[in-house]
Amino acid sequence: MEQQQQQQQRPKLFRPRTQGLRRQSTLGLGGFSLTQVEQPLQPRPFSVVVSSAGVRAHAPEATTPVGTDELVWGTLSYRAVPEPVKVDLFSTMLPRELKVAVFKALLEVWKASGAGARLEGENGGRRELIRLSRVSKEWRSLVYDGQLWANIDLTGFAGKLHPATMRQILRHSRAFVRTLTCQGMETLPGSSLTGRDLLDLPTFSSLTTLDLRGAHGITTPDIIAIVQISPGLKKLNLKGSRLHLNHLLAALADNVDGLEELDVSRCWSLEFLDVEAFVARLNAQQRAALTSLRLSGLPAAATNHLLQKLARLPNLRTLDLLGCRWLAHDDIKEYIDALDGRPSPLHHLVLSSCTNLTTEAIELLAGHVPEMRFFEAANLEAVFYIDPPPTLARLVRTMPKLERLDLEGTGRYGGVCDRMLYELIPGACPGSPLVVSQLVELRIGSAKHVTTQALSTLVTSLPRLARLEADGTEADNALVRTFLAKHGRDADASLCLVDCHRLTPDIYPEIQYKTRARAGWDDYHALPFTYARAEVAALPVVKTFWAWRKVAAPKQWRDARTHGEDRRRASTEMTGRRGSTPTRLWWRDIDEIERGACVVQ
Amino acid sequence: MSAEKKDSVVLVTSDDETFTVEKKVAERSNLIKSMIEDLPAASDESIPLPNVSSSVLVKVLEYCDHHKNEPLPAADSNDADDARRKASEIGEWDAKFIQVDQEMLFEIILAANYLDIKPLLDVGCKTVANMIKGKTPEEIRKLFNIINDFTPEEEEQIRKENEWAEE
Repeated sequence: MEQQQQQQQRPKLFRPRTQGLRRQSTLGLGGFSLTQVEQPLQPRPFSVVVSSAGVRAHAPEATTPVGTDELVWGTLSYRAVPEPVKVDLFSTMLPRELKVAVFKALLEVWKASGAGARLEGENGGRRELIRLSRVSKEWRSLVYDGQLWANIDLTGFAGKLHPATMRQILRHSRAFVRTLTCQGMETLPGSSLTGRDLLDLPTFSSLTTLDLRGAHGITTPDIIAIVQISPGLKKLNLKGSRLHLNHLLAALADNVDGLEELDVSRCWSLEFLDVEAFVARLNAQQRAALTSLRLSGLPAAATNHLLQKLARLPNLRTLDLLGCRWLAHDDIKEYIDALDGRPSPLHHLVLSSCTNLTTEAIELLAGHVPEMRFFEAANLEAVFYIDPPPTLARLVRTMPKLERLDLEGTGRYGGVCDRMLYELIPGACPGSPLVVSQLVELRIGSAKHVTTQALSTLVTSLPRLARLEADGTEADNALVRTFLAKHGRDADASLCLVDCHRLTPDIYPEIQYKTRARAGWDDYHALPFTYARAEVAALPVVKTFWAWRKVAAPKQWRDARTHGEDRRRASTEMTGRRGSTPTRLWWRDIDEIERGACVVQ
Repeated sequence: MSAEKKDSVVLVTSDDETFTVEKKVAERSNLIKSMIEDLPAASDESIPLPNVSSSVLVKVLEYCDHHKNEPLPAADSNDADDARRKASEIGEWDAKFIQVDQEMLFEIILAANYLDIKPLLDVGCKTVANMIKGKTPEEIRKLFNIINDFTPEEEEQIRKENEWAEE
């Protein structure tokens, strides 16, 4: 506020002087230079050149009525210095460090302005820096100063960024970059990161996080070149890469000592033996550093001992084996055997869609994974097919620190039963060691054998359970009331009961205005989903068949897609405040959707 | 040795003007603070400030006087982010105070940097940042009298690359 006032008042203060001056000046609003100013004056034997290097031009007294206008308010010195005022004070007075400090402040001002649209908040600041690179050569060097680009995340402009801009940024700041995110920059050529003209630059000595998801223009040799000059790399994300990665993984093992997180999920050309060789190649220090390994969708090999090798990583907390259909009883057994009695360090294990597992294999884990926080074993309905034993009940009993349990689909034929739910409640089962429940999120979609009483008891007994998904179960209106009685004011709470046939629309009059039908959110990335204002309000989410029918957007969404051009109008009419067309690619949300957290029902 | 003497400190500017300032006020400057600490106790030596002129020091002291009762930011706190976030909005008084011409504004930034008065430096930098924010390169050149030293071809090239950022 104050700033605006200040800027509005400022020209007024000087208006009497500037108006007087303007009459004598031939200057328009466009760019000017000293020689232009002097044109209306007598012809002069020399021309005055003011260079940005900081020479103050001392023009004769006769030239004092220098052209100016209201925009250039600050240059009229109140101390009435007889010098002409057309001097680049910013450039001449401040040392480089303070100039950079001004640009840091500019980024902060943008950051504080919030991020409601794509080009606001931090993105807006970065865009402004890039735009200001056109002011002058000095400014170009300032706005690309390494101190301003420790965190290079330009995903907001991924589709628009010119490769030369990335190269320009790196040219000045390669030694300062800590986080480099090229997510979704499909057209960014590898030469922007490692081109020949960048050879002489300092290495990526500060780089810790490199995200190359969807950067399909970057080739294996490029990544190897980056890895070779990034000794401090800690996180590397190559999810969905189409490259052959065997040489890259070897280079990683040879050059990086402290790699903590590696994501090679869904890499089309990754071969099983590449991963096995990578793990085998690690030295003791590297093995101790590695905490997260995401291998979902890794194709099979005839014989393998990968899990046996993974057991030798003492700090491996996250292991994602989503959809690894080769995973079998013998692998789990080798893992447990290789642990040799030590507890497993795993905090987060994903076994979802590992359809070759058996109940015996899963039961092997019982008692060996006491640190488990996030356990995901969804879509294993075929494992628990006919008359399944209460394997999962016995397993969760040995995971007292459980925070998230995902068994979506697994309970279709009885794999998830009341007994397992009671095992999650402290004191409900004789002999259970559970004292305090940490469970926040539970997904048991399709668990037909679970009773509504057990679900209600669970909701009332677990203090932290705020996200429950029980699609296609026996859940009824009473469960909704129980849940809302407990989490009625919790905007993070979410209850998902799609296709629960006992649920009736009678509940809606009482909950309609206390809940949201889907978990919309307000951000640039939410634009394609065209959420209504009510959907981003701070209310608990209750998703049901009935709520779904009340959600209007998807129909409009479909219509808009069919009518192509009409899309622009449809989205502006529906939510006036989101005037811009949702044009962004949606690779960014693929991640969330894959994790099963798709917010569009 | 009177108590009065201990409570004030004498500053000498680059143009040889002498200012007798309340110690509490002068200590907003980390530089002066550490110089006072280095002075022998009870000494009435003056403190030379060869990089600050009297006209700027008047202005800086005005700021220090207004803020003299606020807690000092922890010395050598490298938690710049924290301190900065606190001062993310320029206060009403500060905004008025910093309504000066460009030359004085930059003089204040220079002095705040030299005297090590972090909050004043932040206010100064933020003020310049607010002047820059949202302006086109042409407006910036006008604002600061910057000479465009790109050749037309170079500028066209940059404009093309950054077309998306200019919209």
